[in-house]
Amino acid sequence: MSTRPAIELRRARPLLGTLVEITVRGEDQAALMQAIDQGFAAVARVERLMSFHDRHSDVGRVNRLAHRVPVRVHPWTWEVLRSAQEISFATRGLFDITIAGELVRMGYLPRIAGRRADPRARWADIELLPGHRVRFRRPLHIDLGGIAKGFAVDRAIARLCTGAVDAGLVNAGGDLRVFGAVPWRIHLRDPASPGALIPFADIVSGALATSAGYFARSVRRGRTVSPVVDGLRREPTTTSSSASVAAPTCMLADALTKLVLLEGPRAQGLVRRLGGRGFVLRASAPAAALKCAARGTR
Amino acid sequence: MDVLSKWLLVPAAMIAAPACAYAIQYLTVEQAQQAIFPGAVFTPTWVKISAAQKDEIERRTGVNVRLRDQRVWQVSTGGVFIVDEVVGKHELITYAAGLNADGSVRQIEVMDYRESYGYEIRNVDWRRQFVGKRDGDPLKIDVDIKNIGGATLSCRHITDGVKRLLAFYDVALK
Repeated sequence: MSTRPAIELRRARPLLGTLVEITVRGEDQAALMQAIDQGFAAVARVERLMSFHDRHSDVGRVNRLAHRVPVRVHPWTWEVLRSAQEISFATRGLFDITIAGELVRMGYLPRIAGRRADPRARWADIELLPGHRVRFRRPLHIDLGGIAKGFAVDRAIARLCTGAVDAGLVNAGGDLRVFGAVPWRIHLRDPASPGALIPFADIVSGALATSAGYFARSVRRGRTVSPVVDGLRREPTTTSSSASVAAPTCMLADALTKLVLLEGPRAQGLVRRLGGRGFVLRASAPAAALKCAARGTR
Repeated sequence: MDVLSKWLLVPAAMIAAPACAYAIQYLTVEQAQQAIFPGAVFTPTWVKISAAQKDEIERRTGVNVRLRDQRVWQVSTGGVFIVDEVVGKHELITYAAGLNADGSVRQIEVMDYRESYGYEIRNVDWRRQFVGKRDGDPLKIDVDIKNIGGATLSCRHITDGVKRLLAFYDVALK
């Protein structure tokens, strides 16, 4: 801690439907500001490429066209799609980006004019062809939502890793990643009372992503729904817990939070095999369990 | 035996206080100006819109216009700089918008973010303390700035606010 750099800058901009925050430490103010701008530029680029809402984004284009013709996408979009497919394969479809159809039905995403998703469509109906082209075997909708958010954090971190930045943190609505020699203390929201912040971990490098229903859960036609949907049963989770996953990349961490939220402790082996470590924050845990928290905190 | 505890169960509910607040200041007005329009000179003016203009902005955007007075800085290098505030269910956000001379968005920077769970946000006095706070001193709700790993609120209100500002520019300034 004795070599703590002179300057810390923190900025926030509205991107990816949330507040994206970038914090950097270093000595050269002008270089730090430039690094922040480049970090945000990377996030903005991911938003332009992978927004469900923009019909001209890669995601907008494949959702409209890819079941009729192969659609060429940006290498970044391709990389996210390939990772999504790998995670779908590893989780036997529990994680599935084709749940966008359910998200549209529940009102979390807008309808796509004239395009109805085939309810039988699954991740295996997405074909990744050479030359960064994508084809769908059935009419389907994909949403890269959380995984694209994690990827954006990874791209922003890559931009920050220049000589001028000694340590950096990028936080896109709870999906965060850090680097640097000094640990960053991360707080989590109490799922029972999201305004309360709980000190959770000190991280030196790597990603921590969190998924929870506390802000997104709603009641539709007498049924509690949330945007975290089980890719196999096609049902939203209604858990009041939150799930966090630590992993080397934020994209992987975000994807694995869905697995932990849906499967709970049963997901543990798979999460670890894929390179992550899962944590569940329960809304009504007894205070006696505090000791367990300490193990994850330091 | 709780199967979760063998894995890693982190207890919540350590804080039972009914109201929790969190606040952070990212930028002062001057810092936001220089972040969006580096090196420029800023001339502040007040712009008052008519009732008809207010209606027109609301009709175009579907967003409620709370105030008819808007402080606008003319930028020496072209464009305008506006500080705006949006209120959500649990949050109060002050942000700066830089608009180019053609009315397009140049850059958005969040200046202050304040979050509250409990009675304060509905309490007029609580909100009043932020009026005039735009020029600097950070609020002392929680001086220890935290990195929050849990899911954040959406930025829908900022998106609506920017929509309203763009219509304001078109109706009142162009």
